[in-house]
Amino acid sequence: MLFENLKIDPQELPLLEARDFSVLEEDYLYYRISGRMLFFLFAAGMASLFSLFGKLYFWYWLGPILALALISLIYELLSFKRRGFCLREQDVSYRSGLLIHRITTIPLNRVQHCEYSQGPLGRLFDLAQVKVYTAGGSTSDLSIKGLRRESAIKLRDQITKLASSHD
Amino acid sequence: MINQPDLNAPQRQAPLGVAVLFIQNLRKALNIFVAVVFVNFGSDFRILGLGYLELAYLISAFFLVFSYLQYRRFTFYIRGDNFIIEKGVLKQDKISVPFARIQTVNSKQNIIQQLLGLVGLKIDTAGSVQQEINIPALSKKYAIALQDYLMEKRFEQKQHLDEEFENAEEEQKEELREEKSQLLLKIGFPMLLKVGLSQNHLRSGLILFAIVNGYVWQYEEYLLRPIEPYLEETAASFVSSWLLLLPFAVLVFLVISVLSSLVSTILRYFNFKFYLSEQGLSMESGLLARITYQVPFSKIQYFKWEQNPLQAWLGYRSLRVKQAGAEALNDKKLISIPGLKARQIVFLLNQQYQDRRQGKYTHYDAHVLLRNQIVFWLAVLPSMVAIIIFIIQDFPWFFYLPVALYFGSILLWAHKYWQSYRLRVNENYLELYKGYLIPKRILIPAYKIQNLSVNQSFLQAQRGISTLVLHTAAGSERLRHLPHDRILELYNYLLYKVEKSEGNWM
Repeated sequence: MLFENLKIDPQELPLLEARDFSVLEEDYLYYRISGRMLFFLFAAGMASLFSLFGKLYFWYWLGPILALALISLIYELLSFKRRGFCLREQDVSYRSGLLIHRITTIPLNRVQHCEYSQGPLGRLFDLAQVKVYTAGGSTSDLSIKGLRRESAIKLRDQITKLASSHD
Repeated sequence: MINQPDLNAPQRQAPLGVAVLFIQNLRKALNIFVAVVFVNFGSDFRILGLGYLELAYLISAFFLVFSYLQYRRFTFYIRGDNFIIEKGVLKQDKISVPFARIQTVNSKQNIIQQLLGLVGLKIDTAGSVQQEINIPALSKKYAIALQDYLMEKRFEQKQHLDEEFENAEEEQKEELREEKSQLLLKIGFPMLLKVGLSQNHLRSGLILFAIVNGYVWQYEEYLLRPIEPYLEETAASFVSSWLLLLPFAVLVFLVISVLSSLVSTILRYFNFKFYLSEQGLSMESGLLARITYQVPFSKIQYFKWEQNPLQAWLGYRSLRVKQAGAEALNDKKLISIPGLKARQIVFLLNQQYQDRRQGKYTHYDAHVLLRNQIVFWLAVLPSMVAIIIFIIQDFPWFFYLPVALYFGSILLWAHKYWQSYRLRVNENYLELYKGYLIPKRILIPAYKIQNLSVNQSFLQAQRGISTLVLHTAAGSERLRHLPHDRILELYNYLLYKVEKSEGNWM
């Protein structure tokens, strides 16, 4: 046993486990894929201008862009199941990443503020995101994307409520 | 006079705020368009058949409409214990700040705001730097009323929340009050020289180099242009004699580095005095500008101390006090105390963290991947590049000697670094050891942690290890390549500790 000297038994520690994470809306997968594809479409559009008016051979850019688009499509499909969040009574967690698995947890008594936002593409898919800020620096802040508008607002309110009821 | 602003319904800023927003937007746009104008300067420049003037009108009209929309969409109000701001034209943002989280509310006026008689409010939440909460355009009266109102709300909340803690603090203060503030360290002139000479000269040399380099490139035109023909002429002979010049350059660099760290030490630490009092740490120092600095205990997030070989020879260590601050992670908030003896550091830590040794330690060691990655990135890759270049350029054999030397020393250092890398955790504290040439120790109280991450790359997953990242209000520390199962256990334990803690982290 690890922390045998403590008053609490580590076996009794509330554990954060993979099954606790709720998967995001399926639309979020399509949202991400559309975002990526829009980017590649834009890049292809720019490159095709060079081909039409300049002297750039089509396959020089079409090949790499198609390959990258395919790779990012596969990546999105595979990594989607890895994304998820988990709100518990005392903390909120988000996990993501296919090649690098990441889990971040913010204890609610350390939440500075919490924000709800929705972008133009998000509005099309009826998706929104909730951002949770701490004093731990911008790299460590949590943003939970891929939520329905109502559930995002609900989550935001819940986190804000729990956060201000602590400490 | 508005005494109590009505914030139950969403409020807008002062109507003149449109002008402030408009000028703000225009200035941003100008920054972009200046480049375009500059590039095309002199030539007959047209986009879609429009010249400069027409474009300027068009852009201004667009921004006028945009700024109006921005103004319309910007509202603020109060819901329960939260101050809420809604804003954004394309993207709707809703920021809510619990009153208890408000650190300060500052007002500021730039020239445009002054001309229009408006005031901007900035709400500081001690959150991340990125997230500034600004209300750019309020009438003066309203701004003052709102500022007072928010600060009052915040105060009410704080009092309400911390009552129990404040009482406990008062009780314990009585016990501590008997000890007066005591001088822990005083640096006289002979010691100042020793401290100056035992600084990390490589670092101060590189900093100086970077500064000088920056200036040189900034004023390249004036500094280098006149001597350019001369430079080109001598360049060829310079390259051929670099072997002769290199030792000389190294010597010059070393002398300048030592001098620079000596001068900066004397300027910064002249007549340095470091006190420990019941409220916290305080110090005074400086030759030209006498600075006194006070750090309350609650603001200290964690300590970091290190010892370079020169300091080891003299028996000194330097201690860094990592503090929280809204402006966060910049250097000003980081206090560095040089020339401390080990027992002084231990004394300080014992004063600050009375329960520091409570509970048995659990030890964690880094996986050998840590060493192998350093070897790969710092030794194998650069050496291979150098060797390939040497082969292609057909250099004589003795060019390979420094490469071998470099490779060997990195190998040795990486091994020693890996061996030194370890973490130990007891009931309330984490202690990280790392470094061979400059051994560092980091002591973080568990309750100062803001949030936690575990990262596991593909390579780490194969080996059953992962990286734990501790984020505090004074920066993050990465604990790399530790056993995954045990890290998860520690992760849950630390979360438990933070969630249960009632200590004032700031």
